[in-house]
Amino acid sequence: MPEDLSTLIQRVGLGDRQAFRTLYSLTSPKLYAVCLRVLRERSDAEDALQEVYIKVWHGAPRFAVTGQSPVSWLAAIARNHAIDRIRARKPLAVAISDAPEIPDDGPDPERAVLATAERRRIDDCLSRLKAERADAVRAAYVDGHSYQELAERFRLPLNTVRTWLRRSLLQLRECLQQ
Amino acid sequence: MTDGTDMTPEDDLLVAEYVLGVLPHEERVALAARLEAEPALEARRRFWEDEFAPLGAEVEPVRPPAHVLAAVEKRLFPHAVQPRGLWGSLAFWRAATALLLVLVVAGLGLFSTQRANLPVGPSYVASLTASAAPLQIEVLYDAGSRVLKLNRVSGGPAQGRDLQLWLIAGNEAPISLGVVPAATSASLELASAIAAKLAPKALLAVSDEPLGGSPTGQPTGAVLATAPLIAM
Repeated sequence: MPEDLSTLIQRVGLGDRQAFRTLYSLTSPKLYAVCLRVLRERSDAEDALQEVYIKVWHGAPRFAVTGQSPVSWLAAIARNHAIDRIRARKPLAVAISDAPEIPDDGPDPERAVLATAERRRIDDCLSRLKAERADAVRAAYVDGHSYQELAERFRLPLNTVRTWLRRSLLQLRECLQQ
Repeated sequence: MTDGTDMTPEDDLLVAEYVLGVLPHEERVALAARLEAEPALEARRRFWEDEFAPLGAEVEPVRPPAHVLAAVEKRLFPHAVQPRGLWGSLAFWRAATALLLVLVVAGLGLFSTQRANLPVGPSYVASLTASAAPLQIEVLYDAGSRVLKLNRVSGGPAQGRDLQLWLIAGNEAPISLGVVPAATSASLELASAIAAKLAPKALLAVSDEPLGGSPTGQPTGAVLATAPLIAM
């Protein structure tokens, strides 16, 4: 429903409170999950979600000029806020090994079919990277891992991780822009 | 692509790292400031965001607790007349009331009914229109018979799902008024305890639920439309 979400966001941009409420009910489960994934604690994710929708309300008047898809516009607001929030804390307040278990979210077959069509380009490009490097990109995006956390996760020195992740990004850029 | 002339490949990588989220706090703050000031960088931010966004598909949605929306609305609309902050323009609702009255009265053939025979209690109309789906339900409540007439003008439940109607009175939790019947027009008789909660500022809402209605007694699926009750 991307067109519908665009229209809703534009109505929110005009100060339509009912549209805001509808937008919230349609999109908050996804954005809450994004915050939860990065922040890991419910109360923290709830606070973050509040801030995210305050930003959505204030940012909506500028949405149309970004030319972005509504889904990526909304997801970016949520991810950026959650990541800023966790990065602003003392580094590594939660060591990776102490982090709560994140449920296994291997896609079930039906979802996988749906997902395939949507994410073919990024997946194609990721599949050209070494598996471990593609995993690092996904882990960074989905779990909001910092370089430090990636270094721990992959048991590599920080600088090595940064170097190979940047190399992966260069390869991705080349592939995505073909 | 959208590279500005003043942007180096190094800057583009930095933007990709920012979007991915791997940078330490100080570098994020510094880059966020540059994004505000440099349109070429900002264009690259959108590029990377759009490209990476599909990776988010694997994150399973989780419904947040209800108090989050309440807190957001309280902060955004502290002076709202109505705690739920839902009112659009009063003039719009007055016009909508007048129009609905004409439609509803005509639709029910009440023109032939003597005014004196109409029930004395307050009756209401409400127009539930979903913004994100082709769903429109006109509602008429007749206080005398406690009957809520539903006229589904367009749309319906998704395959294998039901629509459920809710009453939201003041700050109370939503009260189920029942599953919206499959027929395009139908009537529901309200219990008197529920009928007593109908008031001019109460809201009706329709949510998407499993077949047979919400298993929990509270909305579990997306709220597709809300509308205030308008006294006739």
